[in-house]
Amino acid sequence: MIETFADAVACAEEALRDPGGMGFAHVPTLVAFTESLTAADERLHHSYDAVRLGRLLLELGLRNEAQFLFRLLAVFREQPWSATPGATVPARWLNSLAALGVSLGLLEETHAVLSAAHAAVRGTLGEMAGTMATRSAVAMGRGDHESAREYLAAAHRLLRTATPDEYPGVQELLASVELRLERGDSGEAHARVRRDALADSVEALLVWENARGPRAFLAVADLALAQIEAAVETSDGPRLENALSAMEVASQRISALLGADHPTALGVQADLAAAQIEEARTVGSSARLERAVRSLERVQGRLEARLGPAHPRSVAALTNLVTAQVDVLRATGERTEASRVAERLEERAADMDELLGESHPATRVVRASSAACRKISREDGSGGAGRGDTLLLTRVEREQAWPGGRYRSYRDAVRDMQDHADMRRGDHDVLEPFVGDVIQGGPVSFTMSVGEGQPATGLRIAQADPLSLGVRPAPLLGEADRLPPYVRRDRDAELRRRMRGVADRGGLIVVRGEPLAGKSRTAWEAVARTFPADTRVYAPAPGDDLRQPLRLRGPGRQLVWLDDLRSILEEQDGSAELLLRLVGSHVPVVGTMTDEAYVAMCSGGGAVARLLQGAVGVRLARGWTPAELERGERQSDPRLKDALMWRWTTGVADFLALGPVLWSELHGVELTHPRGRALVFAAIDVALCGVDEAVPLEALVNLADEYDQGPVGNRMESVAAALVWAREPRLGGASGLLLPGETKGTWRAAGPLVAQTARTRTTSGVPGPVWWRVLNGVGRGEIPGREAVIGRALAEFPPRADTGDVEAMYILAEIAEIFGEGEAGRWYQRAVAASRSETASPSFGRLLAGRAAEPEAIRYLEMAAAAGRSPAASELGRLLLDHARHWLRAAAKKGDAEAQEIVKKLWPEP
Amino acid sequence: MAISRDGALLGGGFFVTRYFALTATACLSGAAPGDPVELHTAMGSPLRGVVVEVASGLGLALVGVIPDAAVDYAIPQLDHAVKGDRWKAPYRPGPTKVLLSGTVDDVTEGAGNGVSVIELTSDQGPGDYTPYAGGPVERRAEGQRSMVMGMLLEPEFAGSLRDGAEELLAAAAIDSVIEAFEGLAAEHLVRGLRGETPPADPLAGCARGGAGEEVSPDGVARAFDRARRILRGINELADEGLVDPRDLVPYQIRMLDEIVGAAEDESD
Repeated sequence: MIETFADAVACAEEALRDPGGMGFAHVPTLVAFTESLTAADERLHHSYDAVRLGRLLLELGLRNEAQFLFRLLAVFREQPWSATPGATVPARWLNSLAALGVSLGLLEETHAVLSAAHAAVRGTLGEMAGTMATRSAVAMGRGDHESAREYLAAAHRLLRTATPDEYPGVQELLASVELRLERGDSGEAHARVRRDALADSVEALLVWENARGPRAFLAVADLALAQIEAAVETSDGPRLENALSAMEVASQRISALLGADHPTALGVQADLAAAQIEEARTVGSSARLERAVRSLERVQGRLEARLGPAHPRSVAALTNLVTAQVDVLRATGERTEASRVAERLEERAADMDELLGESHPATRVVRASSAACRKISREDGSGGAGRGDTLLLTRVEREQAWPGGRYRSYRDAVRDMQDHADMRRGDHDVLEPFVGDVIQGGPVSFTMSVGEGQPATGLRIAQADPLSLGVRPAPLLGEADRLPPYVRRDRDAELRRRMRGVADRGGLIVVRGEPLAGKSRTAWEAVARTFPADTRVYAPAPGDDLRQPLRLRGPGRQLVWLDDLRSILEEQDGSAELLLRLVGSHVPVVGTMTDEAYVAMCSGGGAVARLLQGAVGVRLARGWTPAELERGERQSDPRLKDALMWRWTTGVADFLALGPVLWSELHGVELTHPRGRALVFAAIDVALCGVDEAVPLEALVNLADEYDQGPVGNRMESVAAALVWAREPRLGGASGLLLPGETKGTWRAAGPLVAQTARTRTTSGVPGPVWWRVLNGVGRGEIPGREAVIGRALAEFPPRADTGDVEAMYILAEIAEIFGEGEAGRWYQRAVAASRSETASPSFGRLLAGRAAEPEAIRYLEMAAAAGRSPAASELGRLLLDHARHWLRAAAKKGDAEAQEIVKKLWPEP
Repeated sequence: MAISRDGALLGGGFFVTRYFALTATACLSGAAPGDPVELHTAMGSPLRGVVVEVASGLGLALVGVIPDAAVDYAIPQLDHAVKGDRWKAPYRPGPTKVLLSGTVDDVTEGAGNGVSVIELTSDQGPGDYTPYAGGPVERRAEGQRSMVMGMLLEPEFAGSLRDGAEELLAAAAIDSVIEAFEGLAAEHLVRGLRGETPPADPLAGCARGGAGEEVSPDGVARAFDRARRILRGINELADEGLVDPRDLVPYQIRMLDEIVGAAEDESD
């Protein structure tokens, strides 16, 4: 029974490892698990495991299930972001999702996902640039070259401060896309510069990535294809042979690493076969041409089986294949065979018509190839069917001799068809040859490049970004770094001493503690201060190849960084054994893990326990000691000051780490928990009014009426449900949006939310009606903190009143009324005097009247009524009527006949 | 693919690409990197080659092939082994020896010296399979072409990688075999693509063209004619007393196996 995505990933990996044995039994279970998912499943939210499962399903041949999962992830993605300002999506996750979409051939849907998430994407510089590079590649694949260039420029802007060897995966993808975007548009000299840039980026990639992994050889294949294209363009035989040699090695190595039937390996094999067809044509070897065509035919069949017939890879391979088949027939002149092939291709064309539409370039090329074969079978002067009415036939007519014909590729077909005035663009978006055209093959490394984000693999310490190594970002604050200055912890001296030992002799050091104790930051600071700055940091994510450090080459020292060691040990079979080997090889390994995981794993036995028991351990407390707090207070960074002011009962490190998470949570759930959100906003504003104690839930519920709780008519969740959601601990149990107070039934907003809200407003920013309610609540004793609230109000509102702020004057009048602080009448007079007719409020007039400030109320309402505001006129009329009744009755009582007549008429005695 | 030097047959090997072949160092009779050798495709076409690298730890050598545009030969597809695969070793050390086949029992990555080990069970049961070492191990599935997954290891060497296990029938995974050679590394390929090294031509500067006086013709019949000529040449070596005739039989059988295998591939 599979219950989690992690379980599903483990099952899929086992099925891939052992397809003929027990692993096969997992397949039905995986299918059942996938089918049980719905778009509302919370587990889909930014789940890396879910994306990885999609990839594994595709590798297992479960294409439909992988597609279903991709679409669920795409749909789920829309729910929290699309309507919620401030919601974010991790760039690395989005890149992975996009890579899955491209692998599935779903360019349009991938484009839609990337576009919808555009404004919400957050990540490191490299990850953000990776997203832009992905968008560029996808746009190019859709034939939208203009957008592709814009995204390309945006990615370059993001990387403008990066050195050429930083973010090598992204730089390689950018260089590859750039080269292909400009092909045919500029001269050979310019193209050579672009190819050199691609070669530079591939070299950088090999230095920093695992030069023996599939990613490395995909990059080599990509570069080789670019060289092959150039060699064919310039008829440079030796260069073609040279590039083909590299391409063959790369293809074989990818097949050996991933399996010859892996979709990625098949794509490279298709490109290689196409390139071999070109070379066979160049040297005029019909035997080699036939062999290459057979090879392409076999690979194309496998691509269709693995990726589906409509996948761009399959389609491009098919079009390449049929044009090559025509070449073979033209070379051999076998009429009987030509007739057979013509029939076969006609059937394929009918299939393509149904699949892609008759105007799709591939359909046209297959049909044209069929017609060309038919013509070859009738080379008796009777003429060919469809003579001259298709691109291919036009070409055939023009280029009689073989070899020497120019037209060979899907790319050529598309380009010429677009130039052809009579051929309309079809309904399908994939007009541009992106993946798998005869020579180009597209950027074959595409799916790998964009999928894996940018872990700081192989970067030197001085270049590494702690955020990509697992250190949590602090709240954004203007142009400030995502990390505030490091505040020295009491255990630093001991940690650095032990770290130096590991740096000298190798071994594992584990920094452990409660969640959000600051383990990663503290460990990284110790690394940065004890290891030489040119030490390379290898930071595998769960699922990465842990043997890479053993294989990494290059000068200088290495360090393996394992943030969240638990997930590495739990999610990868054999990881403990590999780490024991690393440690035994004197490789320094630095890991972090929680106390709970550490204790459980230490006592669990086996290689994991042996590994941890042999490690050097340093424990970090979550709460800061007085000495640490004092050091923090000496820092000028506003975020640290906020943390010290608003941390309530939490630690400083968790305050900083929680900020972005809680903020994102609060601003990303408007549609699903409106009442819970309103409760949290109320608690934040209460704190900003100066209340530093927890507030009774009832007061928060009353106050929540002042906030938007969803569209009118929508059913609001119960207070209990709202509270359950708001108090639910986030980030591994560290904190909810609301925290319980010391007294039962009281609640306060999480400190980071209060601090961040205060930072985003120029003043307290608490709405006037909320202030009024808080003041009244304090006055009635329902909300604590009387002195603090009055003090905060008297500090905030007089300066505002001095600038003519009517609301401030009114609130000051209220404070005077309720607490006897100041003179209410004076503030009412000033408020009325400062009010403008167009903003005058009837309700304020009513309140003035109720506050024994009737002259001010009448003046105020007259102003509003004169401005045409009927509610004010009505209110004024009622007020004046009350006055009239009062004075007329008074006159009548004294015997005034006229007054008696009016009173009798208007207010007769019952 | 057969390897000879100065007309003397040395042993067999197989192409990993059109430009590179793998063989056991035992088949090179002491040839060192830089030494020229002659290669003969399964169809009998001669090619020139040179020993590029020797991985002494694995007992394997990489031979560079001088490509001849007109010569066509099959390149086996490489693949990775998965537990449960059916396998066969297409080369046998002598006519009386059985062809080995069986099932992949397990695959252990990075077992020792960075070599990934494919543990094999044999349909032929336990035995001393030392003479088979160095031969390729192919995946064999009904209706599918053969793909090379690894190279058979000497049992003693295989045991040393697996905690001293005895009589272990195992192969080195083909990727980890290739990984032992710098000439097939990604960095080397990129340098070649940049024009800094000549990856396609290990004998840069040498005269190009076939090693023999003829270039391979097309057609199975003519390929067999050429094979006959080479086999006759092998016999002549024995007749001249240059080699012990008893030593030649395995190589003759191996060549025939290759030719039949290639013909099967052609018909796939």
